Amino acid sequence: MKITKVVVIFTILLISTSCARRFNVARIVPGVTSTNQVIKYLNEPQYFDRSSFNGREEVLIWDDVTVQTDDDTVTAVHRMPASHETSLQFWRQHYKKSTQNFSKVSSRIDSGEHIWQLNLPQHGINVVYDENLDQVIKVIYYYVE
Amino acid sequence: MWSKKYWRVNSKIAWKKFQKHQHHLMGVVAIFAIAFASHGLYKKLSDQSHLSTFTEWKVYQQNQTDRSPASANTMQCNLNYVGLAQVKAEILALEKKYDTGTVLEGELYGLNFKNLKSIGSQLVADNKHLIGDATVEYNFDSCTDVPCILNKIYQDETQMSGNFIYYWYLKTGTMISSTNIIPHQESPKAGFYSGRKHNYEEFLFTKEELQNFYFLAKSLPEKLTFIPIMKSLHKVPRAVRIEGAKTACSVALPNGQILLEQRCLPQDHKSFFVNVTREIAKYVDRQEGLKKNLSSISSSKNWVEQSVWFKESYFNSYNKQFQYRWKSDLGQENFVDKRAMVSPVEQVSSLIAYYRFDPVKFTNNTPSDIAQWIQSEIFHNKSFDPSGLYSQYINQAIDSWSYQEVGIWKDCIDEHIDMENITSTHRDIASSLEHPLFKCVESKVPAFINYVKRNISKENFEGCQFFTDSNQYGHVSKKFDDSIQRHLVEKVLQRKTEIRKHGNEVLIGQQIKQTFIESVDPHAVYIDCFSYPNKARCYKEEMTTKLSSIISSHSDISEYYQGIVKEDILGLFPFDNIKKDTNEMTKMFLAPYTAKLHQAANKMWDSCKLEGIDHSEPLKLPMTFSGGRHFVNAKLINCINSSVKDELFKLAELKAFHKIGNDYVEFKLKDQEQIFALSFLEGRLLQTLNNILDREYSSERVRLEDYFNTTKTNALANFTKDKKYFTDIFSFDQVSNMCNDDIKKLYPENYFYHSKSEVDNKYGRTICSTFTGLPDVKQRLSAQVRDQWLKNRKVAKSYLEENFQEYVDDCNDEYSSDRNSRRYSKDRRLRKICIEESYGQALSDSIEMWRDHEHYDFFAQKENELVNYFYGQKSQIVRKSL
Repeated sequence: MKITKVVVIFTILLISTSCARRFNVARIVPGVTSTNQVIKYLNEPQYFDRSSFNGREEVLIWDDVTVQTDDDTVTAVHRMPASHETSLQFWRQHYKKSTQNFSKVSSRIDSGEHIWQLNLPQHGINVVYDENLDQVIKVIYYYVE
Repeated sequence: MWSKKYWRVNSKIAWKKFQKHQHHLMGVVAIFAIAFASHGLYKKLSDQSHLSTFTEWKVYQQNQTDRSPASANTMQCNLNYVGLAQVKAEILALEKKYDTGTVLEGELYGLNFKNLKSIGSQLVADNKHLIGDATVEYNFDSCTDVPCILNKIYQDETQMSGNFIYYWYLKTGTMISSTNIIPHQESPKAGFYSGRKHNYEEFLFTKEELQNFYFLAKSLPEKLTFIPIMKSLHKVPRAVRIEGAKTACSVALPNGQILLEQRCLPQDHKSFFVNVTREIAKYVDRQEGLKKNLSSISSSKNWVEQSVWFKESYFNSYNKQFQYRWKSDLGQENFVDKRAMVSPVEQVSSLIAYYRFDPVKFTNNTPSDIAQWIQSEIFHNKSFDPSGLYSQYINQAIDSWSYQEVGIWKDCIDEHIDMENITSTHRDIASSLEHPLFKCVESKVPAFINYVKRNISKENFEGCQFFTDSNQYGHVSKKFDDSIQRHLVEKVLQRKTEIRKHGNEVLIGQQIKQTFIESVDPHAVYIDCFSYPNKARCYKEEMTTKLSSIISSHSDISEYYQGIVKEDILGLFPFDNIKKDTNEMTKMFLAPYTAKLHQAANKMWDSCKLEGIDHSEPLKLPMTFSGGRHFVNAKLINCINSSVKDELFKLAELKAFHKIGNDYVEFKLKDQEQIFALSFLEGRLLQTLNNILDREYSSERVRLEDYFNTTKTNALANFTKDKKYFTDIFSFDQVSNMCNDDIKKLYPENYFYHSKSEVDNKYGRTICSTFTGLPDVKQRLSAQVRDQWLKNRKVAKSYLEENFQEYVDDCNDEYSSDRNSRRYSKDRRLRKICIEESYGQALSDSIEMWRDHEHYDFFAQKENELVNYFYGQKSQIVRKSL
């Protein structure tokens, strides 16, 4: 009985910690949230530096989240997909009434990967899909003016 | 002689003699026992019911192949020249291995599939769309085999091209394309690629390239053949690059097709093999990942951390583009080539290719932990460098001796033991290590070594080269010859010594070995352990348990000798070898059934399409088949996913059969074997569904283009004549909306791979914007809209005049406009100010009223224009009222 209680309490703690983390990620709004607020929600990042793609922006990287900031304001939030979000089909169906722009992600070098992006401009969402793995690998929320 | 005393005394004497010469006698008895035990070893395995179905099938097929009069007596061991007769003989032997007794229905350009061998008909049935110029009608009715079809297409009178392609298919399960449509090409037309038209021949591999494919097929290890998710290889026309590729000359597409440019296919064998194998290995990366419940090995956390990869990514909010690149903290010296440094995918696939075809570079440029993983997980601890091959073949030869030695001893016993004078014979055997019996066994060693070398050469192309290519392998091959002779002589000596020392136990050990070989199929044990997380441990425990139970039924064997026997017997069936063999046997068994799988997938798809579309049905999760990157109508994909599992189970209930006399021998998979087979079938079925979807999507795209081109012409003609588009028109948007509503009524009934909004945006709205942009229509609509605007503005003006008049009246009441009044002069200025200010107020009130007008929505965007217009009118209107 005691062991069962310990297991149940431990499971509840784990779930609530995970949910709290997701909730905090959801609080970050591109174009609104500041860098300090991001650190307050998610704690210190594992990596924090200028982006090598755009020297004007900074990137804050955790295991599960990446945040881009420009002039101390969040411009984009990258997160991992939830379990039901890992198929591209889910996103295509969920937003089928919205404008969808689907294109291949081009890179300077052929990496052997086939990465696509599904952009939903009306919602400020960009879904990154790896065709080799047949999985959504990233969901990006960005600032829409 | 018949008295009791005679028997009592002589039996005592005999017992005393037995006790004195126990060892010698036991030695002789052991020899006789070995002789009789060897009978059991020669019993056909197919009589046993403990065997896995795959083992039974393999044994049956081997017997069929061995009886074939056309088996190749010579082997192809070099990479220089191969003759037509050699290739044809090899093809014949391979065809027999796949003979299932089933016949496929169908035809291709006049060729009935029933005229082909079952595996040949399967190639044609599965790969119809990859054979020949897509714009040409062929005639194959005179052909009786697959190479004939392909040689006609290649117009190759030497007949080599067709035979090379067929050989590749038989060895790898994939097809070398001879069509002029490259997968995922931009243009929907055959023969067009990378923006221009090409002759058909430019899409075909040359004979030299096909010969290299032939040698490559011989060289590929088990893991790189019959990969369920790999489908075909395609040549990109010489003068152009692969569409979308930046620098690479080869690409492995997600749905199983490999595209190769000319520069990836050099004459030099090693570079050719590495380039092609690198792409094949990308499917191995994914397939091995799937087995471990990962998407791929290269994308797994373990691999990324081990190779210290780091992915930088960035989203550009301005152009809405995602960018990324991989970086590794491993130095350049830890990668086999530049391409391997680009990403984890390229790294894994390059490692696999170099391990096989440039083992020296692999060893010199790979960290040891990564090298070890590749060696054990992909190559079953098999090596391809000279010293690795030497070790493997020595061990293989010693294991083979261990398996065969009972038979060898039997032959020599038959030759040298005089059964009638056994008493004197056993004394000689026991006293001398030079007895003719032992000499006989030793004399068989050279023939046995030749037999082993022949088998190794037959089973492994690199083995064939090992024993014939003195340039590359001369020193190790000689070392092999010297070492194996020595090893085997030592083995014989060991047996001699054992017979003298342990006599009885040697006998029992051989009985145990015989019983184990006859009663335990290690492949069946491996299959039973397949579902366990630690397969190797399960296998070892199971085999040990089975061996122990056999040993326990023999009580008179010492623990010491039990250990020797266990080591001897279990060493015959190492886990890696059995795993590789079982995978190979299973793939061979399943290979002839891909047509059935293809049929099942097509049938499932067609039957789900018959149910039509439903734009409002929600998607059901989770999905086994996700539809990849394409949109698929939810009703269709839900239907497919509800059928996939059932179809897989039906497919796994595979059985092959052969006719022997008037009877049919059936090979039906048992439950655990079905689960094992499913691991190969599921990936193949899903890949087949993806290939179907690719073709369906392309076909629908063309269909919709053609449909809407026709619809557009008709719609534009009809709408131009329709009066409703030119009556009571207030704005172009109004016309566009009316047009969109009408166009939607003309949409095709079923479109599965485009969402409604996609069809609206791509076709519907485009037609409507074309309609409103037609010069005549635009002119008429502009006139209509302008008239309506002027009317509406007039209404707004009436509101303004009305409101302004009220304000003017108020001003006049407050400030006298009577010239005769005493206050007129004084109030005149104030009255003017009042009226001027009232104009702004009246305008504001008028705009409010105007916003409530029934047509406001059409002119809302003109509000600023209206206000500016009325302000322009202010001085005129105010002057009038002063």
